[in-house]
Amino acid sequence: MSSQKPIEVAVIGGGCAAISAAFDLTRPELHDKFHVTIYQLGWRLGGKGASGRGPADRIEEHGLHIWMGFYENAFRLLRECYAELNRDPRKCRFADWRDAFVPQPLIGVMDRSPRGQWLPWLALFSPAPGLPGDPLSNRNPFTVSAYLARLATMLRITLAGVSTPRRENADAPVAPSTPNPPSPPGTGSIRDSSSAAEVTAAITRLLKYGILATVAGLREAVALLEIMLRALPQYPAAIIISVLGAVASEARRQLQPLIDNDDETRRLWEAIDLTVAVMTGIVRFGLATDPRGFDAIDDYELLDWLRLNGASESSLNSALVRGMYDLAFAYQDADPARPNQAAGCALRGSLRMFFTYRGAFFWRMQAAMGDVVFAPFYEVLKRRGVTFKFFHRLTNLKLADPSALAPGERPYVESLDFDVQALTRDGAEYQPLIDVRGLPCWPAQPDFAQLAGGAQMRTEGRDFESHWERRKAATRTLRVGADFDFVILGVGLGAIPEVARDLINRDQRWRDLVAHVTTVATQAMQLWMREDMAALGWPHPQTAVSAFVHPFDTWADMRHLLPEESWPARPRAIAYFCSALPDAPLNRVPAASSSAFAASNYTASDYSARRREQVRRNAIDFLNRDIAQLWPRAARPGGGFRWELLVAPGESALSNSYSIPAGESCFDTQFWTANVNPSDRYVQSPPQTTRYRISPLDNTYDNLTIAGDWTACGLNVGCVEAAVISGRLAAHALAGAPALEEIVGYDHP
Amino acid sequence: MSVTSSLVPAILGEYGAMTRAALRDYLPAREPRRHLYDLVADYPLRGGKMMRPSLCIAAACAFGARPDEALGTAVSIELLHNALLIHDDIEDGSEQRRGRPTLHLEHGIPLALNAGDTLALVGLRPLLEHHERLGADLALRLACEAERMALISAEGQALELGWRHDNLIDLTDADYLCMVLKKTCWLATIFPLRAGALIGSRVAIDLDAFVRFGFFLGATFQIQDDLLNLVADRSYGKERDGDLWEGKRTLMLIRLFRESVPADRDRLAAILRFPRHERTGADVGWIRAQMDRYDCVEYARRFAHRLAGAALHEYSLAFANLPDSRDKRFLEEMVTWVVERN
Amino acid sequence: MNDRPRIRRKDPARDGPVRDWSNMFRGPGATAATAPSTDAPPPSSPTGNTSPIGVPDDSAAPPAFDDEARIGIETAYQVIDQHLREGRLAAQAQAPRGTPGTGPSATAPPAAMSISSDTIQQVVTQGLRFYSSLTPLWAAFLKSLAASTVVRDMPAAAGLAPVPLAPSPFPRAAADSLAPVIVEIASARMARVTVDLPPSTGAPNLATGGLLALAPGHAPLTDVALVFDPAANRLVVRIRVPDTQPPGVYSGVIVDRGSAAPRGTITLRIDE
Repeated sequence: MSSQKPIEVAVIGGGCAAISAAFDLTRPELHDKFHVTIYQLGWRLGGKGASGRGPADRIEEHGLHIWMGFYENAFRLLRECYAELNRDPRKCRFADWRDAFVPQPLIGVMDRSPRGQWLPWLALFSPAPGLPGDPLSNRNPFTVSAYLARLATMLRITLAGVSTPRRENADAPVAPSTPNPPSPPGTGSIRDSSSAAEVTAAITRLLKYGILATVAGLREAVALLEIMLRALPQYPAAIIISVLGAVASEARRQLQPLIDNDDETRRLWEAIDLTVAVMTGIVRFGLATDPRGFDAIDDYELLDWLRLNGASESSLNSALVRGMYDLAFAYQDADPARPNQAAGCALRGSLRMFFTYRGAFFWRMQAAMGDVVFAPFYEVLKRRGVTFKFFHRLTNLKLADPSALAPGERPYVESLDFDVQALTRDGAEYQPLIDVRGLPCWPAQPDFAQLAGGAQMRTEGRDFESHWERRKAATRTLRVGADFDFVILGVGLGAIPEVARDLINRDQRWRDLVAHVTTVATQAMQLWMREDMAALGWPHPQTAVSAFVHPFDTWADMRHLLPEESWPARPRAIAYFCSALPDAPLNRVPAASSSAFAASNYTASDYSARRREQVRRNAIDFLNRDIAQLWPRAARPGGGFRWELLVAPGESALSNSYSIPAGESCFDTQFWTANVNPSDRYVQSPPQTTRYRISPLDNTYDNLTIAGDWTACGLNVGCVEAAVISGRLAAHALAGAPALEEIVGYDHP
Repeated sequence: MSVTSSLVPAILGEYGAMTRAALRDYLPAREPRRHLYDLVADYPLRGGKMMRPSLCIAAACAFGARPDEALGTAVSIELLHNALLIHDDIEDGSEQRRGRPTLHLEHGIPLALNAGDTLALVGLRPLLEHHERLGADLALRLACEAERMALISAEGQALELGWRHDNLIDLTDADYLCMVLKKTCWLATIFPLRAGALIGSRVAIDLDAFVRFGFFLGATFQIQDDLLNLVADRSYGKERDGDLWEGKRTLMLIRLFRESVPADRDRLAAILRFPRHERTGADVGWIRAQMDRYDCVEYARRFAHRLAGAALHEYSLAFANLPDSRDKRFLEEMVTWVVERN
Repeated sequence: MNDRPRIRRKDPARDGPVRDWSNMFRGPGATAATAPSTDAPPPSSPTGNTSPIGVPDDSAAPPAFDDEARIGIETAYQVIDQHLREGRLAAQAQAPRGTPGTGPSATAPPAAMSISSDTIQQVVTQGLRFYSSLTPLWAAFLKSLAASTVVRDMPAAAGLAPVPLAPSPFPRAAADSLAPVIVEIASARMARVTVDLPPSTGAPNLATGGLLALAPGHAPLTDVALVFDPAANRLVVRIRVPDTQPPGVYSGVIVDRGSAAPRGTITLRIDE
């Protein structure tokens, strides 16, 4: 359209946020207005989502990645990518996006009974109509009132579960698929069309005459509650709150005798208690009409806020709550005794997760995240003309001298300094992907054969992704006007203090950002075992479970990956574990909190090796001590893990596994990682810190925008969807497109 | 950008005549005449370009309405505009309006003031009658828009008068644009376009695009107005150089202050410090010459052309998806007309 | 070195999410230019959205693009964008909202009024009485004002998110998409009725509480019924005027049964 030179955009980083921004900026309808160059350290894209194929083509990930059914933007871009990629299904087993992503409906948390027993509390989430990433029929489906109505419905269904005779499957509340289910029988003459006066009179009658004291009365009260919540502005909040309070205390009174002896009833009560507390809080704090939406309660820690609204201590200690914290790594300094997340962010994320999913509640990937997400995006972006520069590590983002600015001119990025970690042998472009039986994948190590001096690098096992690996083949400085016009800073938050020193030195907001928005290191391990899960004592279908013990509180059954890998000695089970990793031993008071993580504190290059060793020990101890609670038959009768279960990549198919000396050293053949590189640290959302996030739309530096789940992106929690939204916002900041209304869920209470 | 449009004068004539005819029905024809209703009818019947009501009707028709549906609002706009002219002339101390003496010069300030207030009230009437034809929701919305427009216009006028009152001399182009946006654009272009779009579309469309288009169009219009006051051969509004006599902070005067050497600057400030009746013809002549010396007139002319370019861009955003029509083309050609007219 | 001046980002239309739609002036999700254009290129995204890029860039200017003009245009855009931002903030600030509770002992204040048909009638009656000396014109306007104000100030009822009317294709579909309202009056004297009911989507679920007299002291007209005839898709208003009813103007409000939101008005004038 325009014959003018395209605008050069330097995108720094290759994770979800940076890739999303690049994808939006290079859409065909922009007619090549922008030329994008992605600068990525090391050999692979993905950031925290990067993965590799190791020996036996085994998948090696940073941790556990699950895409939730409410990730509308992530799925939309992914689906568009696959559509554009248009792979031949005869040649590639992941041609359609639904080959790559599969519903995962069974999720659970590990529930600790009062008698100290660990029992899985599994929930089967029924599918919801549509698929994530489908166009929305109603542009703005997200209102607090609608959430309240759904919570009331959930409450009613949970109560119904309590009152009926005990069933075989312990079903936790399932998310209803219809927004306005009909009122249950027994609600007398009250219908949706009843006037406010009639409903209020019915409620008053119920509360006054203690009619709640029957289960039927309780159900009627909740049915009336649903009606009231759907017409919220009509009914004074006081009435709604008193009904909620009456329901909660009455339910407790009726259930109390059962709770102590019946785990299922106890769990249902915990769910009821928490639901009522959330609803009470939403109404009391006026969130349905507060212009700040859920931001209004971000100063509170979630548990404190729930407590303020009447949740009991036992409910706050329930597996449900613990699981939510584990998923978000929401522990201060990774200490499980210090749960810490902003109530607003947590509530928004939970409501989105439970009530706005489409298709399935969770979606699992049928191969590594790098394979099903970043490789397709890499191919599509290359086709669109994006330039990729691997092995480029940003060392300094330099701002223009403030005294040289013209009057009225905003500050801007003047130059970018890079270390070029390696050069290709012949100066050709580095080809990053490998072929695994027809599927383009990322390797677990770079292709040293392409690199100048690669043989030496291979021998020493050079880790280009390590923060402490500073050797370089060259440096490069890019200058504004000559080499770039706009910059998208898409690195992880942990890297910001090092690469954005000018911003931090000159701008109080950036100092506040890195001081308050915290990150946490994580640890992960992956096991391949020669017996299947049922044989190990876990009889349930494939699931992912959280809220187990530290240090590996979350694990996922990854048996679906078995066909993807190429093991001669075929394992029958794969298990992934992950959790937060403290920077310092927990029994020591940390000198500086993880918020001001300064990697320069750790000058020794063996730091990462030491942490890795720490994770190894954690894993071995965990397997010896705790795994039996999960997989009873994975432990020896006298205690300790059955190490012979672990399959090594080098094993031949014919080996007699039980003749191998079985000891802890077997673990060394498995995969584990300490994610301690600053850029790999997981972003948290502590209370009172949301305000310090900076938006990609912020235009203080008029050739710079930012992208990452650490930015003020609306969702404000560390997850793929937040990163994708932030990338889209960054594209909007530079191009005016996508329109903000197109970014689903950005405008949301 | 130098093509003379014949469509614009044709539509201005057509919608202008329609408005003028309808307007008469709202001018009360009862006693007291000599001291009120004749004065009230004076300015509206003196004539004018009828740009404001035409924008309203054309915007409505571009969205698919019939002209008579927007006629009430158009009449209201024209009456309110004239009411504000009466007040402006008093506040500025102007002597001529559309080739004849200003109202307050003919009848004295008290009567003219009263007539201006009455004309404003009369101007509200068509909006009130709307609800029968357009429905209560739309009528209320239009009334709210009109109220918002009236307040913003008053704010803009206060801004401008305040500058003169305090004899401010270090204003910027941004200040000027902000004042023009409020004082002129809302009544002249933004409200007519928004109201027309509302009437025509009847749905909650994004009206911000019209604010932008209206702003650039109105700002261009006002700068051209200010230029014409200095260079036009015949005076159609104010007397020639009237702005200089009033010390009106036009883009040219602001630039003159900014660019003048200190000695000239001091002299300029001194001249403007005194009330209008103490300025001499020599003073005004000197200011006019200074403007040429410091390239103020050409600067403003270039500025207006740039704004017109931006107006065309905003036009394309606001009206992009509408089907082609005479009214749509009229709106586009208005941009050129506004800056080329003399 | 590149010849062109340093490219700068434009300020975006807004810099944060809209957390509360119910108080926004425009409808949810509405953007400019939502009507499909016949000559638009085929949509290339799943949403079919081909909105033009709203960023004025340097390529729109004539080739000789000097600093003075560029700064002038940028200044102008900054002025107008700031103005639009302030307008939005002002609109937000004016809308009513509840205040959050801050502690366990704080009972939440009523976030919104408990609005019943009676309240609306009272407001309307008072308004009518006050302006009863004016022409019927004023009265009708104020009655609409009272009704519409309540609609505007009430946040969307839960679960009844306001459905934006689809932009109509051109030529504009007439507002008579809802079949005309039938009025059946039984009255001994000449009576004139006006029913003001804007079209809305979905089957109407309407009620009215009767018509109140403009003049103080006169009894209301209570024998008023609204009946919806689904077969004919028509609303029927039935009014019976007792012979002893004093002449004058009577008016009442039509409300939505489910939400008690006002939807329209009925005015009846009984002659001598």
